[in-house]
Amino acid sequence: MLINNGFNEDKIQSPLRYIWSIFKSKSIAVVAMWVIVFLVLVSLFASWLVPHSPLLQDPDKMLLPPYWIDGGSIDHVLGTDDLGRDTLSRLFHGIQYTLGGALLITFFVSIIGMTIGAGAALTKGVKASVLHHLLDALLAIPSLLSALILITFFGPSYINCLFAIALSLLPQFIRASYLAIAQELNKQYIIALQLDGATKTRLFKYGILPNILEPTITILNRLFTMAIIEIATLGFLGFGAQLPQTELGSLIANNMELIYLSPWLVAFPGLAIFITIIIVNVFAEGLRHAVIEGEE
Amino acid sequence: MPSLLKVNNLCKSFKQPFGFFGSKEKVAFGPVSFTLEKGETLAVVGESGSGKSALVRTIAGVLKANAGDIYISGNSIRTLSSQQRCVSVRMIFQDPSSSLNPKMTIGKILNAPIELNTNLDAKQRHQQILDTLKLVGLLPDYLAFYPNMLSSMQKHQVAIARAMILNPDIILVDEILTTLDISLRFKIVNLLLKIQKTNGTSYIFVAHNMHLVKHMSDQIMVLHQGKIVEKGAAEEICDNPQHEQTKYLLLTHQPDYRK
Amino acid sequence: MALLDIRNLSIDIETAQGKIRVIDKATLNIVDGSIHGLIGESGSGKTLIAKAILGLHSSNWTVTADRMFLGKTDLTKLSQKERREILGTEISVIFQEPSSYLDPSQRIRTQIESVLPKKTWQQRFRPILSKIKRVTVPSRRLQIKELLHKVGIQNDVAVLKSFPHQLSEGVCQKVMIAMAIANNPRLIIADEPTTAMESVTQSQIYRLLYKLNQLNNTTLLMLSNNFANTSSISDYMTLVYCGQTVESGSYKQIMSSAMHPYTQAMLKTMINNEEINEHKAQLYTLPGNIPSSNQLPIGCRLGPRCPKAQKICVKNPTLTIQKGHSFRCHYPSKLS
Repeated sequence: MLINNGFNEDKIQSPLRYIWSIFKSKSIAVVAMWVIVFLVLVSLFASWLVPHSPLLQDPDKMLLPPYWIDGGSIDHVLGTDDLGRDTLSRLFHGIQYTLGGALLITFFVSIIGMTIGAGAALTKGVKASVLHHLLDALLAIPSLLSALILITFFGPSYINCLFAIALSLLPQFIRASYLAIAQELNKQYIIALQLDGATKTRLFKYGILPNILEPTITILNRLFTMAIIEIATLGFLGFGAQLPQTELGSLIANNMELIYLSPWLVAFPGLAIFITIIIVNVFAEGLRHAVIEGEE
Repeated sequence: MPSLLKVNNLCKSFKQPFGFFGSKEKVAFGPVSFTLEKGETLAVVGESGSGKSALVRTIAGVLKANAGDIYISGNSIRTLSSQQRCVSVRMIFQDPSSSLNPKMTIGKILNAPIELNTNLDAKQRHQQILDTLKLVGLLPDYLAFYPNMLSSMQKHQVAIARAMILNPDIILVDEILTTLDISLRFKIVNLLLKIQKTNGTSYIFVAHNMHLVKHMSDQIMVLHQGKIVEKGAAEEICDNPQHEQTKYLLLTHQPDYRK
Repeated sequence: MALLDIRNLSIDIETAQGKIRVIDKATLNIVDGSIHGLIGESGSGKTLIAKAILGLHSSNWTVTADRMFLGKTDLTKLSQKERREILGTEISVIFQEPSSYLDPSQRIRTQIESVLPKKTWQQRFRPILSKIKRVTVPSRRLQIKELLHKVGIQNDVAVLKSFPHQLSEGVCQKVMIAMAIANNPRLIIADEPTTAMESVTQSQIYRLLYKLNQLNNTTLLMLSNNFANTSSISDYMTLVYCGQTVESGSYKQIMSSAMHPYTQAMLKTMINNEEINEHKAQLYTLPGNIPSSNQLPIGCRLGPRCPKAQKICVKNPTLTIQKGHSFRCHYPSKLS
């Protein structure tokens, strides 16, 4: 935690600041972070950023290739689809649905899951063991399958698909956070804090939460990746976003029959999903390493 | 006048899974009875697995006893609130690098016990922290430091400061000396002795090194398989051990290999 | 004859605070067939020196040495692979927490078998050979049994069948020692072999190591932070303080005519152990604490804590050698 600034004087930094200063030295992870910021901005302001409305059809410009290929036009940077809709605009909106949805899911699942996980780890007796065994039973069902089951209950729509995915990912998250907290509870400083008479909330806030940063990053990363993949999968299968909505998975599904005619219509949404997931993983991995180095 | 600490037939056993559904009781120690007066030091010695660590942890309140009573100044521990208990009995853990929260500054670590167990305001708490730091020989600058910035000696000093911060009557010391270098060990022994001299604190400590035990303690209690096999004044036990186990512990220390 | 001859070994480690010279011109001379104690407090760099000898350093280390010879081989000129071959055949290591260095999922027999020298062709065809020629070829089983008996494990059958967690720390250490001597190495490096052990087990291990040295003439380098225990079995001793080798010499030289203030302070801690001083009196220690690795003083690193320090001590003293007794101090003097 001591950082030597040119004057050979050591400055005290809080652990979080220290981790941040280590993270800043990892250039790939920093690049990944800025790409994520860009993607989040895109998903927030997609409607203002796009050059055309994603639904605007132009019968004169159908199936245009990207502009760098012969026959492309600079007006439609990534070309158009079979109804003359601008691919770039549709892609931006697709990112809004997929990435934005995944962010929402991650946010709510992590808060609810962490609360339940902490509750299960910090309490003993019937409450804890009911929680425990119930969740263990739920874990036996693959999350995509349980999301599909829930969708058939709710009926296919984008919002319902988010709900279903959140509910199907919740048990895994609770389980992971429960394990991280339970492991932390055995540490000596937690026992010392308990002996001081600390309440459960205080114990959690000061003792446990700052020290489970590393496992939390890992499970959040996994949660986010799973959420993106499942949103895209449900969209592809037609259970998620419905037709006028341009979700990345459904974009791929809609353009499947055009794959020989203009392959980029399928390639671009696929690439968008692929890059998003890779970038998020690079970022999370960099952050995790920074945390590990910072804790040494 | 009742003794400062009176332990009466204290027993502790752990449940171990046995077979498919059943469980088996494994006795950690007990029944154990002893008393401790103010300003005295009681050393608990024995082989590993003799239950000495469990005994100290039970008195500290980390583990729950299965039977028996603990009285502090004549009051049963059952009648005391956790705050009262905390103010009179404190524990120093074995390894300070794992018993200090790495994400909290020394100031916050020392503040927590006072905030939770007394009604002092912020200013009084700060004064109390400064006094305790002075007692263990640390500068106030260290309050803003995080534990991993300190050397191993300083970590021990902080751990002792955390135990001393409420001015307890009894401090339980769990094998802090075993893994230390000899010069650090001596420094900590000196510090503990100094604190005892100035504050009149009583210690119960678990140790291996019979020379240090003899030097530091007034009473020695030898545990073997959870039972007290010998108990008495330090001088007497070291000079004239009665039980086989005591003789064994004294004998194996520093033999001459050269012959 | 020197088995291991190291002159001016320096190790720099790259850290967040810049390059740190953790080992500063360490000199170590181990006589063949002796027990050499390398004594220093934790963090003084004993383990780093041992790792440099073994060639187990990581990429952010820079190791430089004027001379680093094991017998007649120059260790600095060997490739990583040749170094690796030396490890295990010429040098073996005993670690401090044996139970964590043994594979928890393998039985002891498998683990010992894996370090034994390759089967000779006679051993391979032992069943046939013994029928034809009636020669006695020692079997693997017998080899292992002998090995275990050497380290004082009597109930070999039970030990070989068990997993590391079923054995006590002392027995685990004995198994580690058995594995270390399996290839008859010339040098055994014991890295604090008895820390965190009970004094009963401690003395058993010490006695065993001493016996091995006496019977097999194996050279032992004992890394330890316990001056009192190590000095009682070593023939030669080197004291390390904060990465500097402050004094080295034979047992007699160190015990009767220590020249360096640090050695003298260590001797005092030992005398304290043996004499009966006043009950609950303050014990002797050097003032101050060991500096952390990013705040090392320049020159003689003991400087700020040394009772004899003068202005000149900010310069690193040169090595003085008198009849094999060497020390680095500007003001050497005998303890009165």
